[in-house]
This record gives sequence, C-alpha cells and structure tokens, in this order.
Amino acid sequence: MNTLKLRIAEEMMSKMRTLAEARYPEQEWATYLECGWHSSGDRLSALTVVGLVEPRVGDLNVEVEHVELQETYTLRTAMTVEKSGLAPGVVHSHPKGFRVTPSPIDDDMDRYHAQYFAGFAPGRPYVSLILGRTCEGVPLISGRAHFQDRWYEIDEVVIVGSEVLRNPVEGRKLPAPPPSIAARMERFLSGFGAQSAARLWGSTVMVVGCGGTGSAALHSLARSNVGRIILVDTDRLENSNAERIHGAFENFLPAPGKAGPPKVEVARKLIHAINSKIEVIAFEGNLLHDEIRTLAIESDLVLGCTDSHHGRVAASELAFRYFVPVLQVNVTMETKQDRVTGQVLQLNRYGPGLGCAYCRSQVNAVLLSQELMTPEERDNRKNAAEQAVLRGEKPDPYWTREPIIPTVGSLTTLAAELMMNSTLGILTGRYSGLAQFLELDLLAVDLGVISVPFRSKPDCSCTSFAGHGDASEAGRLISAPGHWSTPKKR
Amino acid sequence: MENNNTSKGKENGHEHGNEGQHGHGGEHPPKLFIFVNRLKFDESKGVKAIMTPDEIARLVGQTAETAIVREIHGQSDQGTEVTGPIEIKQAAQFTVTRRTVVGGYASSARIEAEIASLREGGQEVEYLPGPPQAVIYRALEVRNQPGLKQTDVLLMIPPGYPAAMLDHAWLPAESVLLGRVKGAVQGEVNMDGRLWRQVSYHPHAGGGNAPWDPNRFGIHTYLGDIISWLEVR
Repeated sequence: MNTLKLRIAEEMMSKMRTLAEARYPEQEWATYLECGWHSSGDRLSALTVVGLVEPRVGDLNVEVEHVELQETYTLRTAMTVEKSGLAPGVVHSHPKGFRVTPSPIDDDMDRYHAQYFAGFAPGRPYVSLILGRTCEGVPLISGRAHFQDRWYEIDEVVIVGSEVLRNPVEGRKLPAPPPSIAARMERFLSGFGAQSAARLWGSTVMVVGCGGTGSAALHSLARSNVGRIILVDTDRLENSNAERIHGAFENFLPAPGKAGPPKVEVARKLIHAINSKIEVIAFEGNLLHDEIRTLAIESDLVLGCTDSHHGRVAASELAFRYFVPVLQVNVTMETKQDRVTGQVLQLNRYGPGLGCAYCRSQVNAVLLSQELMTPEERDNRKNAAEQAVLRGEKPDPYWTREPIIPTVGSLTTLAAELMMNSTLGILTGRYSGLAQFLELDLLAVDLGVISVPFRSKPDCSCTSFAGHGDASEAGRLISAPGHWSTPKKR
Repeated sequence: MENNNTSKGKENGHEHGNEGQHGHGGEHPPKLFIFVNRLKFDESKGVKAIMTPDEIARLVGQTAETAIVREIHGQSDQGTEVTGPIEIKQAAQFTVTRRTVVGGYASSARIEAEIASLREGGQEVEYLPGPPQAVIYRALEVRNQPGLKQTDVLLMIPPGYPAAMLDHAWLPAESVLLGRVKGAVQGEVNMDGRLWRQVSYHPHAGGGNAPWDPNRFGIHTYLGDIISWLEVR
C-alpha cells in the first residue's frame, strides 16, 4: 500500500473534530472536505485539508446512529469542488472507544465517492478521514486517498500552526534506530525518551543551502541521528568558505584556479563520517526545481539556509501551499569603519496563517528578479547601469548592486544551532513554544531580542491559496526559470 | 464477390437508397450524447432519444431506486429531478447521485449489540465480520420435518445496514428443507467454510411482517421471522 502524509492547519483540525464529534460519544457525524495535494507524475505525494463543505440541516440523517449523507449534500459538494479546483474529501467519526479503521460500509462509501467525484474533479484525489477517540479520550485519526486508480494510506497527520504536531495514525509503528545508533544517544534518551529517538531516525529533513548555516545545521542533524537528509546547493567549495563551512577539511579545498568539489558532496562526506547509516540524497540544484520541490513537500521539515530572495519566497510558498514546516535562517554582520557593530541573526518559522516572506517584508523584488535573470541579461543590465553612471544618472533602474553579506563562522554556526533547537522540537514533539520570528543582535544590549508573531495578510497569496497544493497553479508565486539547467543528483 | 454498388444491403447502418436523405456525400448525423456527472455517454453506451431515470442512472452504475437523477442547466445549477421518461437533447447534462451515502462504524456496533441480546436470551449466534458481513443462527428448531430437529440458518447483512433491510435467508446447501420451506431456492454462497443456498423469503417486503423500519427491526427480531418460516407445513 502506498503511504503519504496529510497536513492540516491547527484551526482547521479543531473545527473538523468539533464538527465530526457533534453527536459524540456514541453517534457518528460527518462533513465533506476540500483538500489540496501534490502529485509527481502519477504518484500522489502529499495532502492538505483546506476547508469544510459544512452540512446544512437535512444534509445528514439525524435518525440513525451512523452516517447517512443525503443526495443534496453530495451533489452540492461535487459542484463546490468542481468550481474551486480543490480535491473532494469526507471526514466522519467513529464512536468513542471504537477503532478508526474503515468498516465495510466505509469501504463501500469510499469506492462510491472516488468514482462519483471523478467526473466533477478530474485528475484530483479523493480523500477520506476517520476521527475517533479511545475510551480515555485520546484523539485518533486514520485516512486514505484515491488517485489515478490507486489507493494510498495516510500514515502520518501533521497539524501545523502555533506548534507542529506529528501524529502517526493508529497502528503505525515508528522505526527504531539500529542498536549501534541508540547506544550513541544515551544522554539524549534520558531527556527526550526512546520515542524521540525513533522519530528522529524516521524523519526526513531537507537542507537548502550547504554553506555556513546549512553545513552547521546538517552537522547537527547528523549528530542527532536524523535518518534521512536531503541536501540542495548549486555551489562548489571555495577557499574563502573554509572559515565557515563545517566539513571543509583542508584536503577538500581546491588548488588555486581549480574548481572545488560540490558543497553537497562535502556535506555528504561530513554526515557519513559521523553516521554512515544516514541516508543522504544530494542535489546540485535549487528548491525551485520540480524534482527537488517534490522531495521538499514529502519531507518532515525544510531548513532554508540560503541568503537569496528567491530562496525565501520558495521556502515560504512551500509552507503556505503545502503546509510543510519550514525554518529559514538569515545572518548578517553590520560594520562601520572597520568595526563590527552588529551581529544579527534571524530565525523564521513559516506556516499556515503565520505570514509568508512577503507578509514579513523580507523580499526585495528587484534583487529577486536579478537572481533569476539569464547571465546575458545580468551582463546587459550591469553594462546599462555603468553607462547610466557615466551619463550622471542613477544606476538602480538598470541594476542594483547585490550586497555581499559579511558574516563569520561563529555567527552562522550559532544561527544554525538556534534553528536546530526548533528542529528538535518539531521532529520529536517533546517541547513547544517555537518562535515564529526571532531576531537577535549579539552585540546589542540584552541581545536586542525581537520576537513577534506574524499573521498572514488577508489579501496575500498565502491566505488565498493556503493549503491549495498543486491546485490553483495560476496563483503560484515563483517557479524555476527556463534557462536553469536541470538538477544533478550526486 | 458481391458487388456492393448494386446491393440493396446496408452499409454503415444506412441503406444505399437513402443516401439523398443524409445530405451531400452521405454524412451521418452526429451520435446523440449526454453528460452524466460530467462524464460523456453516447449511443454506444445506451443513450437514446427518450430515456427513463433508471436508464440514465444505469449509465453510471446506479438505478432509479438507489439514486436521484437530475437534469442541470449550468455549472452551479443543482438541477431539477427527473421523475419520468425524458426527451434527450444533445449534450444535456445530468447528475446521478446516490440517495444516501452510508458510512461509519455504528452498524458493526449495532450488530454486535443485537447479537449480544440474542445470546443473553439463550440463542446461539455466530457473527462473521466478512466482508461480506453475516450471522449464523445456530441450531434453530425445525418443526414438522421428520428426521430433522434443528438447522443452522445464515443471514447476510447488507451494506448500509440497518438502513438497508434484512431480506432472504440461507440454508445449508444439502438441507432437506430447501423446497419445503416458503420461497424459491436461488443462488449459493460460501461462508464459514460451508455452501449455503439462498431462499427467496421476504418478511418485510410483502412476506407478512411490517415494512422494514431500522428503529424497530434488526437481527434480533429477524430471528422470530426465521423461526416462523422454519415451521414446515
């Protein structure tokens, strides 16, 4: 059976459960859903719950204990998803104390729905969820989806909001780390517990950017025994990187005039020197490449460790479209007359309703456009800017100088470890209180701490297309430029 | 070899003598097609000039009994119900939606509760969770049948129970009661490692009991119908 994750915003989960438990604890209830999804070719990759098509009076038969959805409700849902472009789904409850595995009539219901909705929502999945509670009141959830003639089992539900809660569905066992790995985590286990170790070992984290912050983060991921790490970077190691990049040992540094190894290769070697059993997938590529984006959507967490504007937009779009938990870190040093006056690091957690990179005013559209231009266009614009200066005009309309962000290894490592602290909280679920935005200036009095909760702006794409996944393609903010070469898997 | 130019036989469904009626070059009129649940069906799938709701419903695997058929006139229009034969217009849009879509775990809970009440009353009952779900009433007394004092009776539980009604009864394939108890002997099913024959017994559909009402009847009450049925006359 194929498996996949379902992600849902915290507020939506609460609303869905309240509705499904309307006649709890002995009688069942239901509501139709609108869902987002991601598919790669004919394979369904991830699901989100976007909204509820709430029942009206008469839409369900109140005379029976189980669920009986009336024709008007089913038809109205079909028309709704046909118009919205989202995927149809249903959620119903099982009585308290009962398992949430589908019953034979649930099987019949889902077979019917998958076939019925196919005409109104062609090429989109159908999603079916079951909610319940144990006798002690512990919430349970299970689910499945139908796509391109295949059924998929939902093996994890991730609730994303002020916290990130990962709920393996009923019956799913987490893979325990091998005994040799568990032995290395003794101190960790005493504070976090065996389940946390299993969660880390069973997690997939993507690190976008393997420079100063990225290499420090992946170093820490390896020591924490995260079982699968995906590395993304287009650059090669240079001598000037040596001060910051973890794993940039002397023997990797290039001779003068020669190209160094890909940064992702340097990173892989570091990870495997720490733990040879960690699965590493490395790409010379960009988060905007479709193949890499699919892997990001399937990951448990994405760490954005690049200083590019398009990288921030890509990372935050992952978070609001697909509800992927994303942490993005930025660092800079402020200098004035040969003195360092500020050492600033920023940690962003992107998620549904938490404001995207645009809501947080973190995107410079001019610099972003320049990042994505062809080399020829960049040269043309630089020349035009030089000519403008010679004419006594400002160069900015033609070309804006791309700042070289000064930084230092201690700062990038510190930023990465701050991000790792949030990472461990998200992956293990052992602590909460994760900041949505945190800025520190290490040279300021009281560290100049700024910690603000952002909210998505009502007219922003991150509100309109929250959870839409592959639906509403016209609303996508960014995609890979056509002149970029295809990513290389190393 | 037969010369088709002089033959009066049909070619492509049209008689040669009728060529002029089809216009220049013998063009064929377009096939009549409709959309049901946004899926296209044409004459090759059974679309015709006049169709009943049942015929429209059967295009998508339903019947007029199980589904409501509507004709719709726009993207958002939920349409008007088709209750009788209708003239089919080219590219007409219909929806065929099940009257009720049933889901949930409660039916299993209810089955188990009914079985529990039977057992409390001393009746031996076995539940087969399936799918398909069924119960076996064990060792039911048989009257007026020499050489046979008791029998097992199988009852298949329909999808959507208890909204869907209990109907029929099944006897062991080798039972001497087949043909002696009320109802024609029909198909067979293999359940619990035994072969059973279906008997056309309908206590709640003209067979003497009140019409099916899930609030009044269930597996526990159906036992009474079965016991009466086994009284061979």
